[in-house]
Amino acid sequence: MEQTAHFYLGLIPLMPLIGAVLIGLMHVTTCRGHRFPDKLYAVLACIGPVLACIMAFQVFTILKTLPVEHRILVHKVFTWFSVGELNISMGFMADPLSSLMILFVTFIGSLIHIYSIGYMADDKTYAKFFGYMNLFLGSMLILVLGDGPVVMFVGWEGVGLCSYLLISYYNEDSSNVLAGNKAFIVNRIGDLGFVLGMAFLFWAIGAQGFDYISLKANAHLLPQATAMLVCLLLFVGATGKSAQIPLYVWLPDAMAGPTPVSALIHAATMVTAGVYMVARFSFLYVTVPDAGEIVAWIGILTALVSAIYGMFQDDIKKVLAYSTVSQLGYMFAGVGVAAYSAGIFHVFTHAFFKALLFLGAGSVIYAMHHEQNIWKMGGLKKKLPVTYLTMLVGALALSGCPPFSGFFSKDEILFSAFASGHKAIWAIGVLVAGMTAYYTFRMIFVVFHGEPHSKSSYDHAHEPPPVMTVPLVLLAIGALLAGFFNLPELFGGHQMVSSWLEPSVLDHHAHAEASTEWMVMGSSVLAFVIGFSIAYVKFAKGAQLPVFTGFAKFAYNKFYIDELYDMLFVQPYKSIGAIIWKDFDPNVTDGPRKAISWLYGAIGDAFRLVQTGYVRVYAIYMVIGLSLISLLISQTLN
Amino acid sequence: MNHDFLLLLPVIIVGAGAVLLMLRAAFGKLALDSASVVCMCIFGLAFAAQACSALAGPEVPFKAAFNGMLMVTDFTRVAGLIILGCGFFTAMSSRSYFKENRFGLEEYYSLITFAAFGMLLLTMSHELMTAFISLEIMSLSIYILVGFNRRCVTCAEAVLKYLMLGAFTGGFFAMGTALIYGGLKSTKFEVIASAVATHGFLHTPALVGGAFFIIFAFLFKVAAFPFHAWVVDVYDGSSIPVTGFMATALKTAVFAIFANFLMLDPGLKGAWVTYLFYISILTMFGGNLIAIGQGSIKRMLAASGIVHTGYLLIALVAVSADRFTGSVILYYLAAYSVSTLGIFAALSYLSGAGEVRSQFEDFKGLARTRPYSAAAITIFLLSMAGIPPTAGFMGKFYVITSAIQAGQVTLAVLGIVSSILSMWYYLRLIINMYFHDAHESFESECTVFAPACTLILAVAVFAISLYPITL
Repeated sequence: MEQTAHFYLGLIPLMPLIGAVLIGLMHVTTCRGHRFPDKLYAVLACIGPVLACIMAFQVFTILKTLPVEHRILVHKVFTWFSVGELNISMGFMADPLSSLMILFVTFIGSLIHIYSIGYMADDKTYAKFFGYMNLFLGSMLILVLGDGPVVMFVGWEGVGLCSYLLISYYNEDSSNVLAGNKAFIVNRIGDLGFVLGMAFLFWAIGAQGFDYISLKANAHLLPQATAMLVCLLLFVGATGKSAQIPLYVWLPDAMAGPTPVSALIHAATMVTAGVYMVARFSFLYVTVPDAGEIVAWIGILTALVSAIYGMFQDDIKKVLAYSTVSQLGYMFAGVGVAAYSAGIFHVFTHAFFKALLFLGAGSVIYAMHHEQNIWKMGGLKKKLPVTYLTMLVGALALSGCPPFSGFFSKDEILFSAFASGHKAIWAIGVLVAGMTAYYTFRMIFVVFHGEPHSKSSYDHAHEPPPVMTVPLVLLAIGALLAGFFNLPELFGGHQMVSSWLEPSVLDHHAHAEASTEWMVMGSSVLAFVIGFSIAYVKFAKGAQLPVFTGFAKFAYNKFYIDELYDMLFVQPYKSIGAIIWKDFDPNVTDGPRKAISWLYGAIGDAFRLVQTGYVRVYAIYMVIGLSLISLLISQTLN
Repeated sequence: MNHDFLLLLPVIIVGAGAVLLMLRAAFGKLALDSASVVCMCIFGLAFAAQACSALAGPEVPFKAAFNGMLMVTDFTRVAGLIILGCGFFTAMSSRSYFKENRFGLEEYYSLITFAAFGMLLLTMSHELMTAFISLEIMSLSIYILVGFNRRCVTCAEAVLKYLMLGAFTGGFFAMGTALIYGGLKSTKFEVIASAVATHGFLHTPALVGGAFFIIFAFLFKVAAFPFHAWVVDVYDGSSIPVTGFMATALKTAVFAIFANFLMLDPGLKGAWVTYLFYISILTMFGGNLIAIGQGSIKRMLAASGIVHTGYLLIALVAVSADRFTGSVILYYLAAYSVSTLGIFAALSYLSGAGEVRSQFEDFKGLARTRPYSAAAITIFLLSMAGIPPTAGFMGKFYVITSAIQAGQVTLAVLGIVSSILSMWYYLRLIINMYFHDAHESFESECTVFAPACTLILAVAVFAISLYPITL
């Protein structure tokens, strides 16, 4: 049984990776000439994720049969490198946390691959898209399954690369390429933090083994200050990948990529890698509560700021992008207050409803012929009934309406914050919950209700093919029911997810009176109702393109943060580069180099004269050489 | 006796093949194209025989059969393999070359085979007269090959210069032999070795003088400073395949006998280390300086051949005479031969009728019209410059590592500096090929032989780099 699980562990990341290599080779060899049919690529692309998903289920069930304290399987495939004390093997580890992650990553990944078959139809480089998608999924699975920080980092960089490639996928438009560059560069800043964190961690306690199990065992040896440093540096990595303050700026721009990419990478899976990482390193974070405090505050402030932005966006994908940032903020607030299982549970439910919303938005965009401005839509309810209903489920889940999944996970985070004494974080969280309900239903009402704003595109709009709607329905079911997996005891549940995760993460269990729990829950529901009502009053009967003034304009322009970063970092950096390029390099560093090369050229030219071409001169050289050396030899003989 | 026969088989095949080719050609029974194929077959057969012998067994002095005049060791076997490989690829690229340059005669292939015969014997020589005779067999064939195009003035110039200076050197060698015979009453290497071991090198004046002249003859043949000056003119004057053959096979053969002679006794080698030290430095830097000034690719390659001789001399300085294996020297020779032959093979079909394209400028934009040829030439050039992961890099790596192990750190550092300087002229051709627009189409009516040869050698550049040796 365990042998089978080991076998699967190695195969799970391999499945999509094989697909990526195969599709890539097929594409490269045929892109100039006769192309293979798109259907072939579609099938090939879906095989890997689906197989990985089935194996993930197998691993999960095998793990479930084991006794709680033995629920950890490590499969070392090969020794990657071994330098001094640093012994790194390419190993994969399944424990409750990673098995839960691979379960929904592969499940949602498969659904989005299937959806893409329809969405990307008629794309010129169909194969390239699926190659990248498979590569992404493989990297994500390496990230999640890696048995130590180094293997995780391989996946971490892999998903970053795929994210870059897919954001810039429509590379005829230079702004898309710039968005890809921005995502990549901002992520590099975060990666630097991750690498430094890893380096410090290795320096401090890595000698006895650099995988999670050994690190966890040796975590108590870490001095407080080093632990703090490592935690913060790792969190810098997380802010990059998971789009938190101050590195959140890339995620909204990343919506330049195809919509399935936004759903898979920039909503459901990759961006949650930071949360996963913090949960994975929970054994470090529990030793320094201050670090957790910082994580929680950054998270909740990000949630607030991006919820404000979200209320003023007019691009359907940007609304969802900011809501993603905002929800990620919640997750960090959760893991920050040491409610790791609550954070991961929100990752889990969020993956369903946000993927659903993005795919729904995708089918709206598909129906409207690549129109993304919500003010040009309107009244689509009748034209796209399936999309409307599924997106409604997603919206209710996102805004935390009971009993949809988002309600339970968000409530658990807020309750943990309140119960652990972080009242301010809780209060902001409730406020953000209200704002979430407002902007979500603002989007739903403007897009689906009221009168059509653009008659012609409305008339042409039609429901997408089943290959796209079936994944929507499946995800809607998930968004509806996923919350029940972790039904709190208040409702007679057993908190299945939290108890499942217990061996992996060091949860801090906050206890409170049932009345407190009721109060917290009630305030969340109240916030939802208020937000929903405002949106209903303002937009349900149809609304016109608003003109933003004052604070609204400030928020519409995202507080001018992009411009501020540009002024503070990008422009000075560019001008320093320009100085080095235009002045320093040609005049200072190149000077000696040019002088040497000139000198050598001159000597070479002079030496060429020695090659006179007269054979008598050559013979004289020989005689001179002969004489000199015989002279030297006679010296030695004496 | 059977064993002896196997060891000698490559020499027999090549010698008999050369005579056969000569006879067939004399009676006009052989077309030019078939002559090249027959020549390739001879080399291929001999290569296979040599490979068998290399795999077969231990070293054997031919005591009974040749009175100890010949000796086969692993060192000579591998040197023989390199020489036979060079012969094979030269015959291959010659065939394409003579499609456009119509002065080829059937005897050409016979002469190449004769030259290889002399070289093989030279590597095995364990006695000075044998060495002299095989040296002359080789040299005479090469003189004729250099001047093979009788209508060409530069060819005549080249052969005249080479012949005069070569005769000069042959005189040195004979004189050195005479001195040694006068002192020791023998010309056998074994006797020389035991004499040096018992009396010490410097206490036998006849030996000092004799070795002095003989080593000078070798230094001339491998074009070490200050006996290098002929190389540029001679390489420039001879036709491309011949130049490639001279630059590789001849150098291999002479370095083999040079090493065999020098390693007879630690005393002999020790006395020469100081001089070889200076000669190798001067050879490297002199060669570099000459190469920088050249505008013609053949002249540049000739000068770069001088630089490579410098590296080989470093290897010679660095090897220990006590347990001589010569693996570094042979590795470097193999790496150098593959890259040099590759370039000359490519040039033999790219330079056009009458070798009209000979300057750097003539190859502008080659990459645009003939990307594969340009890529192959780039691989060869990078290998000669010593860029990983090519064989040239590994060769330089081994040479420099062995120099450091032998305590010759100065040589190692200067070797690296020289290799950096050599980028100047190697990259110059790459720049011309890749960063300019093409002015012509570089079309040539060549057969598939030379391009195939280029391809095989380009693969070999990487293949050899993967072959591990022990220092």
